[in-house]
Amino acid sequence: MFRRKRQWKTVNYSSINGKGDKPKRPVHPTLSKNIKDIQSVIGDDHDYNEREIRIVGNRKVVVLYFGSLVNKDSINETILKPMIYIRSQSMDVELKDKELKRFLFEEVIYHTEGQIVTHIDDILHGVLRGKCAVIVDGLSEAILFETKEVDKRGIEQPQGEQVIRGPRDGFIEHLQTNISLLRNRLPIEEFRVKPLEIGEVTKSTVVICYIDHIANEKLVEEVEKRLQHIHIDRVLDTGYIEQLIEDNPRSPFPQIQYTERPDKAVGNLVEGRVVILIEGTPLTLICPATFNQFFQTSEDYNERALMSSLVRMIRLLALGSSLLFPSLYVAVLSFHPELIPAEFAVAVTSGRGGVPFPVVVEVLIMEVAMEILREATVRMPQQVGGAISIVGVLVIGQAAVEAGFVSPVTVVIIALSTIGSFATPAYNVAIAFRMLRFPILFLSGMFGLFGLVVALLLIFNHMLSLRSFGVPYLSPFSPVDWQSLRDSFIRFPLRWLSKRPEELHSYNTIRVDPKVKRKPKEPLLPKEDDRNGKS
Amino acid sequence: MENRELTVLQLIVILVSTNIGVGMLAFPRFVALKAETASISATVFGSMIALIGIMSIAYLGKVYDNKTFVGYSREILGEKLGAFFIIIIILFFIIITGLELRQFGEVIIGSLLPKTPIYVPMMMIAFICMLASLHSVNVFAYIHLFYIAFTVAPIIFILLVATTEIDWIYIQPLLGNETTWDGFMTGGFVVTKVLLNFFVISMVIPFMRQPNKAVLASFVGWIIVTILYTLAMFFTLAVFGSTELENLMWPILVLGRLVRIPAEVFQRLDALLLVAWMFAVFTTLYSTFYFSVRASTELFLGFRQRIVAALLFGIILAISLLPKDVYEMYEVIKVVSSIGLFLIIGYPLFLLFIRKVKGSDPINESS
Repeated sequence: MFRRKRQWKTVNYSSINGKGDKPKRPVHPTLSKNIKDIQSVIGDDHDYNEREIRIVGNRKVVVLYFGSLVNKDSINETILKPMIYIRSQSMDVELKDKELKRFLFEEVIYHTEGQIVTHIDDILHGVLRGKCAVIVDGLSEAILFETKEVDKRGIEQPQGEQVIRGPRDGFIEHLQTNISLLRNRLPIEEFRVKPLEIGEVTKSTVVICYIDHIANEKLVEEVEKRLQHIHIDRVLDTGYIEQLIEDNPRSPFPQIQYTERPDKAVGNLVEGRVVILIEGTPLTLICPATFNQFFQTSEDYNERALMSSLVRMIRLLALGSSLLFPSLYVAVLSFHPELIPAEFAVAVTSGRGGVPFPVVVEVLIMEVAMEILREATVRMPQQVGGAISIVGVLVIGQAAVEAGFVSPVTVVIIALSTIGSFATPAYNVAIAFRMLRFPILFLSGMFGLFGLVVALLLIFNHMLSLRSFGVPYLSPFSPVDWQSLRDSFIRFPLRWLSKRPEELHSYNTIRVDPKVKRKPKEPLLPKEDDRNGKS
Repeated sequence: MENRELTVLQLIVILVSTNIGVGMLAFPRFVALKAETASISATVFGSMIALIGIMSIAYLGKVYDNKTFVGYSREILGEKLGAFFIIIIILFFIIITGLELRQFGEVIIGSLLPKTPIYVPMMMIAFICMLASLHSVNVFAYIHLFYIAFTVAPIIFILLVATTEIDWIYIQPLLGNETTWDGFMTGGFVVTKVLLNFFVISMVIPFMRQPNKAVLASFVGWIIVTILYTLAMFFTLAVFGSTELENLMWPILVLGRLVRIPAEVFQRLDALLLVAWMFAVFTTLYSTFYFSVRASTELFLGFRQRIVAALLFGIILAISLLPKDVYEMYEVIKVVSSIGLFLIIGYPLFLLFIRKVKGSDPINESS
């Protein structure tokens, strides 16, 4: 009621590809006319290929395809070869048009995926997507065969999400491979893979994956609806989709999670979330996402509960320190020095002896320097990156202190907060927190602890009002859900995570049958005893 | 109502977190001034009076389960008379919010930012309240639920740490040494006045998933609030004694100064506890602010929530700047909350009475 409804503007993008609402041209019975039509559109392209052959009844047949997109072996073996071979077997059989089509499609060509189309535009549409078109003289229909093959890299461990314990495979740019990675882990009939095409120019294939009977229908509908409302010329990565379908694009916090790991994607599918894959990128989207998910990793479930709970708490601590450490330092030192022990306060102040700026300026300078250093090292090749970090270490760590530019304690504080932000598994959340550090720093530099609280109130209130596909962003903390709290900053043993997250309103919520007791331990008897017992 | 998502727990939390706020810092002093050693029993007594109001509001919410207090006031009293009372109550809450804001500003200036002009922190908190009051009732509940851990835990922590300082002589006799019946009553009413913000739930109950559990939830909320207030009264009285308590402006804050933690990481904790208390104040101010905004929006249909919120931001800030100093502020609070006592406790009872006289049965009417 008080939430502004998102207004989708419908813009006519048809002018981009120049087709507009022109009527579709049907396939003409005369072969040469069809070929001419097609050639007038794509005939000049370097990788466009035509192969003319003659089949039974001395009819002309043209096979068209883009050489750069297809597997030529399979065209040779399963399309051209049988057609020519059948002619050498039965030379002078005259077939009527209708029979010929059936004969070719059902008895001669044994390529797996084929479809019959009746319009020139459909032929173009198919050929541009790696299909091979077979046009027969005298027929007003053409046959399209799926022959697409593009080069792809091998499956590697994703660089951004490495684990010590867990599967090593990661998504790649090839959509079919990615789907196979998922389907391989989910051999059930309820696993759904819905295709869509987005991007007026790039025509990217987007796929929505979910598990029927687990994922809430409304969620799937909502995802699909938002995807269908996208009108944009290009989609080069899931990041485009993310920005176009997220609930609040003005928020600093990501509302959709991305991953390169199939095991993580499957884990989320099984919890009742929806996964979006796109042709041409290894990154997949998981929606909806709550804040809770961003400091978890797939490894948490692979490692034992006690240890992963501790690790999660450490991560949360790191996230908190990356956000608050510098501003707390500024607030305490310049407004409330009575909070810290007197000796320490004296030590810090004497360390700042030669520093010409107030604490807040000093911290700000260091923070900015740190951000520049981080940004500089991210994209550098490793050889140069090493040099940069040496410069960074020397300049920031050593020389700045010796020159009396900053105090040593400030360096420690900045280092702690930077390391803290790197300990966060999700890069997009870590960067959000790193950037939020600056406004908090300003406020606490002006108003001390009060400014810090004001900043925290603003951030928390914003997070509490956020929703990701209707799911409150800070659930299960608020609104509280006791079941899901078991898998938040601590992770209970797998047997105790008996239900799927309530906030997703998934169907079929039971994950573990609580009635089935763990098998009682049996002592391992020494060999002799065992033998004696049996005999 | 838009979407009924509020749970019983959320209503309890709203009631508790609304009532833990500015008033909690100061009330022991005012109770002790009147009731002396009988302050603890006076606190319980005052809280009982508040229970009458809470129960009648919760009962009204249960009966008119898809109407806020604006809705059923107009149904019971008729359009014009209803609107009159609604406006008076909204005005009361606007003034109370302004005064609470001022109290908050005084505490901040007094203990954290002595050199800052008082309107700056007040403006900032009021601004946050304004931003937050643009959200739906669900978010209102989420905010309260989220901050409750930040507010209740530190208060209990301070109180428990003070256990070592208790002097049992200070709280005896429980019913007062030479306390007059009048002093006991007035002391009790101080607590009731502090608790008047419970009225906010009347705006929230129709958004509950199970409005029929509103009475139960409010009762549980009241019990928690009473326990916290009684504990606060008990500890401040037992540590300081009624004579010293009368000289302390914010006794709980002084109690925080007693806290020391092992390992000497922090020299003093009171500033950090003040941080926790700021969250508590925010939730209280937010409740009354939100109540005023929602009630005005519902009463004057056609006004947009954000315009009302912006207007109230200015008005409340202006009201908060009116008193000259902290003493005048407490004088004003005394007058306003005395009016509020009759208004907020009496109005729901009045509504119930009229409803009884009219003999209307809203459940059958609305169906």
